[in-house]
Amino acid sequence: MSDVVHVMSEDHKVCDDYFEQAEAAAGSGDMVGCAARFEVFRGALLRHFRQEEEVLFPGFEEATGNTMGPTRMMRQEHEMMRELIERMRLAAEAASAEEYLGAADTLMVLMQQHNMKEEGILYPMCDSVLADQWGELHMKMQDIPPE
Amino acid sequence: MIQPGLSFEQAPPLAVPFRFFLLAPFFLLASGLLMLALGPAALASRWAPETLALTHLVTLGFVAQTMIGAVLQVLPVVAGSPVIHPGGVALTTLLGLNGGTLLLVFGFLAASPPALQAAAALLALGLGAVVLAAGVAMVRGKAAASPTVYGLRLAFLGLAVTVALGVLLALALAQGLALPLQKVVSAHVSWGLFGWVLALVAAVAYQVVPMFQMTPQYPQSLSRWLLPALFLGLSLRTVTELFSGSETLLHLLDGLLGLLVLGFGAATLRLQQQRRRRLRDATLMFWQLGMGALVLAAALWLGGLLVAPLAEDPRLPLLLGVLVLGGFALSVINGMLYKIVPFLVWFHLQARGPGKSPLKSMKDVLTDRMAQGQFYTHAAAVLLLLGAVLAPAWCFYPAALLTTLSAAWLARNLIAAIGVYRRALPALVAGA
Repeated sequence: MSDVVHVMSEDHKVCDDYFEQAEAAAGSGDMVGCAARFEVFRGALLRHFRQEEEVLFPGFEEATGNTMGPTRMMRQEHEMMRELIERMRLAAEAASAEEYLGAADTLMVLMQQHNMKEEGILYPMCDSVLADQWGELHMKMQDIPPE
Repeated sequence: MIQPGLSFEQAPPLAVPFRFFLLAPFFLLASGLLMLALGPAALASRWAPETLALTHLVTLGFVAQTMIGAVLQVLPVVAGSPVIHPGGVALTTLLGLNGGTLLLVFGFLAASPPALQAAAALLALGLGAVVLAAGVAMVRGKAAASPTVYGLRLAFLGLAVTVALGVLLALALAQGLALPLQKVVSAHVSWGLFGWVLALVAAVAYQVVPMFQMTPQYPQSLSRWLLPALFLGLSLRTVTELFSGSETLLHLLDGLLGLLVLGFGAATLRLQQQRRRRLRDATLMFWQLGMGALVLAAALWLGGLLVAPLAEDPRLPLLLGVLVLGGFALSVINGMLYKIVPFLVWFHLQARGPGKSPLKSMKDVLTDRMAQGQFYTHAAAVLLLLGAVLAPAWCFYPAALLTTLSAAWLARNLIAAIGVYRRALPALVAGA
């Protein structure tokens, strides 16, 4: 299956995996390992955001004529997540496991409730309004390089 | 063309869920104080008015209160449709539920028919309003169908049945109606504990257990069939008990219900063991305790069906009550509050604009150390409450004391969390 729901939800899972690997390292006090794994996670998550903000959301907004609805809310939450990601980056750099874990746990809750809204509501909406253009949009999204 | 969602924009203001969350621990506190005031009579028999007063302080004042507050918060997200007039619905429910609970407790303790009748009216109004509002939101909802969405629908159906039976019972007590009281009570209790509380917990668990602890998903056979089977079983049980009276059929249905509950508790514990996030925070500890108590309750219940002397022991229903309410429902809810409340405080401050909030993370709202301290107090209270049923002379007062202490600690933690919000807000508003 290669519709919005499946492709983008699968990407959430990939990001979750990277997140967990970095967090596990921080939890066991290995901040060097954490920093390396965090960079992989950060790259994957920020790429996912850009795929949505630069391709999927504009496609949705154009098809529905609605720029103030769900996509605006999703963009706001992306901003909040970027801020937490930055805190995690600084904490990993400073090798502070406690700071890292505090920000990571918060990101986890924010990210999961965000994903729930996308997977349960926004992606299904995208599938119903973007069915004709999805192939093209999907290619454009794959052209976005990892951060 | 679909009208794309105004839906998840409309999360309610922070005050809507928080009024419920902040009032709830005070009912637990009241239950602890009431135990201290009444002495061992409070847990003497499941039919004693003191025990009924105590039970309803917990089920209505804490369990229903927190679950409704949380549902009003997540419904826009989960169902993909906002609650209409969230402020009005929340206020009606808040007044009806809190006023009704206090009157009901007074009605039991003072054996006052007018108080029971007024309580029935207020509770019907308050809980009826939220059932109706949630019902409308879920019917209109655009969210993709999932076991969680179906589970929420069933849970509200369960709440509606529980409230209807409860109102009937209160009126029967107040006016001396000729009802088979024991049978209607049995239906009221089973719908309340399983059709409402367990159904809502399961619906939420399907989402949050895999999500927050990174466990495998619940097996599809379970998430798809558990609640429909539970509701079918409950319905058949109620009809059988009230109208046919076949003891054998009732026994079989009770066995089926026990197995379903056992299955859910055991599956959740198993998933939590397989979790990939190894960190063990207060929420996880509360959930593990809760699921352990649920499994124990189901095992005891099944034991009672097989072993006649156990079934006839009047302490069995009390033990089951302590396990399901204190051990399962209270633990799971308490654990969820420690995720929901700090997150909402952090989120609402963060939403004031990038880089403005003074909080670095949820940990600045409430530390895990404070939450874990309350966890151990709560766990000790549950153990002692079990002891209080079996050996009241030894355990009753320590149980009452720890119940009070745990409730006070929870109240303190939640008030501290909202205090963080109140202190941070003025600077953010002024700087906006």
